Amino acid sequence: MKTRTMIVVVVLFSLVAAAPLFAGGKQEAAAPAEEKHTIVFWMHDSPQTTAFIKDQMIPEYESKNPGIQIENQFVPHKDYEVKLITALTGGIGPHAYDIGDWLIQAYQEKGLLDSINYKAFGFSSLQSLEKAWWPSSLGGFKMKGGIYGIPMEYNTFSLFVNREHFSEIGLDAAADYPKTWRELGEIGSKLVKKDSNGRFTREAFDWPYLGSVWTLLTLEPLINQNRGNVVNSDGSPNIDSKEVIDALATYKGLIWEYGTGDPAVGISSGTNPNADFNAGDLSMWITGPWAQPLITDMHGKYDVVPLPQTEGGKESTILYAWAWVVNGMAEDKNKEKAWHWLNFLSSNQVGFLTECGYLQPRIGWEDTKEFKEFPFMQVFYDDMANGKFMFRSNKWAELGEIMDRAVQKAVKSNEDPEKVLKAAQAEAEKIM
Amino acid sequence: MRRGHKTSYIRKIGRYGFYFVLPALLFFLAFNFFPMFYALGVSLFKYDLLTEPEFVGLANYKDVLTDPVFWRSALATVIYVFGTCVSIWFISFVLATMLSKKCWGRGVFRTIYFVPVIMSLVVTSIIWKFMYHPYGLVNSMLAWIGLKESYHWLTDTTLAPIALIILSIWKGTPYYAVLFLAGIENIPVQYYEAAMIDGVGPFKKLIHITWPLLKPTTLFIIVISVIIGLRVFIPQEIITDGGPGDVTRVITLLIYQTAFNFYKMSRAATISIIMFFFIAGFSIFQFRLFREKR
Repeated sequence: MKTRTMIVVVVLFSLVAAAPLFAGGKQEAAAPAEEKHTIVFWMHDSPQTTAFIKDQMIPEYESKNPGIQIENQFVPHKDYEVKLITALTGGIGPHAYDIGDWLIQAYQEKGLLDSINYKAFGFSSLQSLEKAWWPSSLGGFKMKGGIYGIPMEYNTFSLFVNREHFSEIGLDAAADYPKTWRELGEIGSKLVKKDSNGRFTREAFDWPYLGSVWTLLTLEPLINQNRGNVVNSDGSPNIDSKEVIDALATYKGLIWEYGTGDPAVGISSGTNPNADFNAGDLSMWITGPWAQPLITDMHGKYDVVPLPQTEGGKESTILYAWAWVVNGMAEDKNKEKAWHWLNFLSSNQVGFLTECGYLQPRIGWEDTKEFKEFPFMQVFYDDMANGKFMFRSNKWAELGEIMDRAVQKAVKSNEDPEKVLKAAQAEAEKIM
Repeated sequence: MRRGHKTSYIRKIGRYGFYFVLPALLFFLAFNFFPMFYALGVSLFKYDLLTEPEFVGLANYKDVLTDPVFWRSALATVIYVFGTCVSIWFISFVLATMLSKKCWGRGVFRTIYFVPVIMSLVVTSIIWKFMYHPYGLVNSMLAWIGLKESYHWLTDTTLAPIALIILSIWKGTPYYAVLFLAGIENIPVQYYEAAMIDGVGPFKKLIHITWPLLKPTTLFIIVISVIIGLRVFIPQEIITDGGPGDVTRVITLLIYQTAFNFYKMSRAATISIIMFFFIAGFSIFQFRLFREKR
């Protein structure tokens, strides 16, 4: 009796303790300042962008719009999403912020995104707004009749190759670059350098081991080239399909069959994954246009070539973007001002390209000197034309994590792709 | 009359004592007990931070306890705790026994050996991450003693849990050695003197004097080290992020990822509560054992 009473008291106390936090419901975003209209703006911190937005874009916008103040916060990348979601759900989130395209569905379904206010961009309809961006570039943000984000950096992954390393083995990087994954493996096995103890002094190629987003950005093109999908059209997982297994076998094969690199050796820094390529410790590396300002030591010593393809497969690359969005829970007047600010931000494509290395797909600057002179622009542009955004799911984070752990087992620890993907499929089915 | 005055004085002192303790008590209520009960409450709901909570009773518990991901994580935790704690108990006892002997440089050695304890676990984790690089210090030392294979400590599913256990043994042993040392130095020297007169050798002294008199300290160390081991988070988060695969994803890391990567707050709370009951049960069992042994 005594124990039962105790249990009842503990349960009741727990429910009472939890009650006030549930009672609050959704709250309004941070209140604006008294005199000036304040727009709270958050972004993930990145070396090249923070300074540009803080020092140039915000002062310029505020001088043109004296009644508006931009209260900015740049959060370290690693903590950004946790901090953002905590703030949004606590009702103190920003009015405008940036997120990766892969999270769009989850955020939209939770009411955290506002559909684009085309009037704030000076358009008469959503269709006319869409036509002002490169074809398909807003496709990753379209859902349920609305568009929920404007790309801040629009990316694809292409292959960066070190010219000097290629010439060492008698190849011209610009002409003899690997067109397929098999060729990448074959050339890679010649580019590798090891010391007398069998230790790598130079890797030819390695994948990024920087978490689920990087893993899927590099694996999904191979799946698409095999005409496969991570999820079916009804949203169910398709992880153990033949196409995905073959893609992972190819992915793993570059390391374990051709020996192009060693997952334990390089590319271990999340702060600058391009560091090994920049230092000349890696001959080939898949990355995006944004990386060029970071590869300073290799300036003029590398080429960017199209992403390798699967022989007999469908030509396909990856598209991804970090997008500016507006908080769906903000007051209408704040939403309108926030879109106005984002319109301004997305109107300086030349500035973002030269200062940050970001490609912004808003039409109208392709004839500028800066666009034409940006190194390897045509390669990126062509790869984008074959690009596809990553799979969409409101459980992207969980599915991505499951995939990443399966890939780790296969690539880092040499486990069988089929076995790890079948286990991943079972796990994915449970969460769906 | 005098008695009544004394009682009132004691009450008054007691009241003042309570006022002095009150700030700490409020702190504990607000930051320890409230979140604990809150977590218990949340575990009875379906709640993801973003949508309205829905009462589901014990469904989360059933869901978690039938999930292989949870059990794999529990296994990773048990392997870590077992590997770390058993080694620590043995090594720290041997070390304390050695440090209790009077010899030249004992004070310096004690100080140096204690350094890992005062270093931040975040810092040591980062240092060990570099040391575990295939071309890092650990493999170089192994090569020096003839083991020339390039061990992939952090990317091999077999070696990664062992790598974290080694780090934790290095970090934790000195602390427990100090506890053992304090216990050894509290043993009255007369026992050893009497044993010496009776011609008892060092090993028998250890077995028949030191060991029995250290049982309270030993049991305390067992309880504390297991609790600390079960709550481990930092090395797994910083060095391996639970990988490769999920072989080092201990329960605390699973809770963190479930809450802050997937926003499944109720599920994370449920795992926390299960872990709480496991730790509480284990501690009660140990303390009962401790009471009986005393």
